[in-house]
Amino acid sequence: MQAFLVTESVLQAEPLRALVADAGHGAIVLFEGVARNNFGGRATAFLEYEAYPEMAEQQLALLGQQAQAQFGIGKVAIHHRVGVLQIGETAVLIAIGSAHRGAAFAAVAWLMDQIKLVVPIWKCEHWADGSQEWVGQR
Amino acid sequence: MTIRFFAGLREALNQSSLSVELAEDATVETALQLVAELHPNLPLTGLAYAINRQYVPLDATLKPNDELALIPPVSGG
Repeated sequence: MQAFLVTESVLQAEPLRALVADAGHGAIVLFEGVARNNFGGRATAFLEYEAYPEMAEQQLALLGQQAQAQFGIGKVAIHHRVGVLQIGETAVLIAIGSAHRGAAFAAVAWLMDQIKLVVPIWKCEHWADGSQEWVGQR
Repeated sequence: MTIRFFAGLREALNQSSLSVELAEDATVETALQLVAELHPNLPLTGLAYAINRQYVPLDATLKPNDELALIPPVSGG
């Protein structure tokens, strides 16, 4: 299992947990970003994600290295799903192993912010009224 | 060289890549100007640029086998 992956498959938390587990660590933080049924209050029917997959995986790995250097955490794994996602399905999964929980909580928050800034992945909202829109947050 | 398009830009172009020939000292900006000439209706503002999967500035130089990606505002997560 790759630690940094862009995939059309359903994301599974357990393999990522296993990737970052370490007997010397007291904390594993798992974060799931989930497809929500609205954006700014407007009803969403389903989501679609597109990636520049080769670059996105490189960027995710780079962010993992930066998080390790900045927060002193252990292993990091990040998987991002692409394609059509139904409401409630997991779009992104982050696992962090760490000696202590504080660093891991801080790192996961930082990683999600960075993912939304620099990783070449795009979300298309398919609205409940049948129209669609690519969302940009930069 | 190849230029890749994603998300709204890909849909506006109705294809995910273009093959173009540029002069030897061409930059990202040169390539963008060419794309704008070929496809005047494409929304080419607010983009970031990557050459061979690395973010680069607008004045970065392109080589014949490079892959240039035009990256609209990202929205993953």
